[in-house]
Amino acid sequence: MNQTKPLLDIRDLYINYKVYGGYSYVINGLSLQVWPGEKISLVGESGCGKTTTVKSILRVLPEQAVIPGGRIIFDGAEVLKLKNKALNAMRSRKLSMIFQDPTASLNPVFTVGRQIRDTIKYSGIVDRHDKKAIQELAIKALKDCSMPDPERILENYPFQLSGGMRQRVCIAMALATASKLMIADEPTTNLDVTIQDQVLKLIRELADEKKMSLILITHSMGVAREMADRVCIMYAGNIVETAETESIFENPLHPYTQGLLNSIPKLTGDKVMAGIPGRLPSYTSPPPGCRFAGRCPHAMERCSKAFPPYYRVGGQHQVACYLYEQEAAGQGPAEPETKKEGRAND
Amino acid sequence: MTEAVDKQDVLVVKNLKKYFPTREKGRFVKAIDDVSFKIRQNEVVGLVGESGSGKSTTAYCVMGMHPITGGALSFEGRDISMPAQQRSMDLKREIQIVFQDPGTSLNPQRSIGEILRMPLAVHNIVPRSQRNTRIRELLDSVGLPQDCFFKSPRALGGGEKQLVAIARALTTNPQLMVLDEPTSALDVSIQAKIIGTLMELRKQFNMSYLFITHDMSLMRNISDRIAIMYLGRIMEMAPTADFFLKPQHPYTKMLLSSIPVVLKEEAKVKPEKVPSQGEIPSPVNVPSGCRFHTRCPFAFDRCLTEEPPMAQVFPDHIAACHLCPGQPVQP
Repeated sequence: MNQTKPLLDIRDLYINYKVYGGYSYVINGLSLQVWPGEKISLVGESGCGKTTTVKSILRVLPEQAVIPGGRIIFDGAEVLKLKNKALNAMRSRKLSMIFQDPTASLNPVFTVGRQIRDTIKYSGIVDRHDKKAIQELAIKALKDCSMPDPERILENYPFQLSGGMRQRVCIAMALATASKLMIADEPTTNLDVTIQDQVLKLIRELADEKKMSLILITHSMGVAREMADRVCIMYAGNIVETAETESIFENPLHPYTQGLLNSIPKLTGDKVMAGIPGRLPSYTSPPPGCRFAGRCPHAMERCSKAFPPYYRVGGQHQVACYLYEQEAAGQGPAEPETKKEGRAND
Repeated sequence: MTEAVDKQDVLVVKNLKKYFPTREKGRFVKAIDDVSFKIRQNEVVGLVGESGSGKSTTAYCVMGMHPITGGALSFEGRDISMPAQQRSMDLKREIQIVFQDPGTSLNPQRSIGEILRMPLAVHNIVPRSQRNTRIRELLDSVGLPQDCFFKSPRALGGGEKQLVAIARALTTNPQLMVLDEPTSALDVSIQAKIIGTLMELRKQFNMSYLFITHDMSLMRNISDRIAIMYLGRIMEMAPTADFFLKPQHPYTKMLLSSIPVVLKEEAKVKPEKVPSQGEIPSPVNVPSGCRFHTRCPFAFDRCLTEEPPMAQVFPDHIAACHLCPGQPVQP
């Protein structure tokens, strides 16, 4: 990427949830950059904070969430400081999101057409009284998503469509208005593998065609490998490793990434799945150091004391693990994720 | 059963049919439409397919949870075509099931000890005085810590809950275990442990598994034979290595080539890309002829009118497709 400025720049973000008797420290100093036109994938297991991270970009976190520290800069604007009007403008024209469950994200009592038209109407890209133009855009949006017979589908209610079709409608709705960044939160988890193939192909083609950036959240390493230019592995509220797709699959560095890859059953069938012992640490009283230390086969004493900094190992491969301190010594600390302590202000 | 039954076969499913009535008279949801297969002693048979293909219904029919519409089921030579209520206690003991979602298949108001004691008491497996010892042995054999005994299912993680469900199925020393997507609700790092435990238990207790899943990569690693279902029918069935290296049916090829993989070596063993198109039709209006023709890129005239018979392509490898020449087989 030769652009000088990232489209999305998350710096040192902390997110806590208020829970009974204290806080749940979920996102722990996360930094992430997405460049224009880049497709990245956030990979992690359930409960690692993938969805919380992207919800903070749209500022649709639930009420009990507190953001004690960090900055989110999207397209030059400080997202966390935006006033309502500017925030709505950003949501309607620059950012779009596709959720995991298309059944839950469509309103069952309105037709698909009404919902797509509303999205277009309030985005302000056309005059909101120009019904004809709005209808045309809605039809075009469905056509872009290779839906057969868009006029008829606009008259359908969500229950009349199959799961794959509903997800296409959600994608159409997300892309009906011009957008710079598309966030797809496990868009194919509920779909069968053949339908997943179709939907992923669609998302990839649309992102390329419209030169959008893409953040794809998934728990499947296989999906990430097919879709992304760059993969970020998340564990317990932090990105532990980030690298170009090829590099991360050929040469996984972080013990968690290695464990994850070893756990996946392979089509070649000649490797035994290893798994990772133990489970996620408690978010209400997280360990002060590396949150993976309790399950890590290479854990050292210092791992449980402070969160390791990001070490740059060859090119764009960054990993937050003390094991690579020696290897990265010659290359200087990675930018901009330089300072890392345990948790922010309580 | 008229013919002599091979002692090797634990479960024989013959021309199984299960139709559910719809509101409209005379129309049925054909969940299972003529399925035949066998599970041999000590074998893991994988049943794969998309949602709506009838995998789980097959499992429930084997368990007797649904009365069957047609065909026959037999277990070690004994007829088990009747629903569970009419089966004898020892039949129920021999066949056990593990469900997909451990969160809803364990009673949240009972402790793990109580959950495991129930089948021991109902089937009177061990005398009352030894039940607690037996429960502790069971916890041990699935690798759960002893302090689970007094815990409630709520206090356990998803993987541990599934281990409890497995321990519960083990209480009666079954011959055949039906596993209905036991790991699809779990993360991969947890899945590996559950699968490892299941495979070890099978060796230890000489069980056979009917393993239902939609994860083909998982099947590659654990099953001996695989059957692929589509709209209530088996499209292809083969020994695992054959199934992945020499897939015959276009549907199998489409599924296999759609799997996202993580290694270059894996990408090499995938069959040539068969583009995925269309969606699974409604089982109420099953397409005429070959039921896959609406999505098949190779479909021709004959496929639209004539249902392909099951044919043997290689030894022990059967497929139902006009394009796969072979000896027609009688189920």
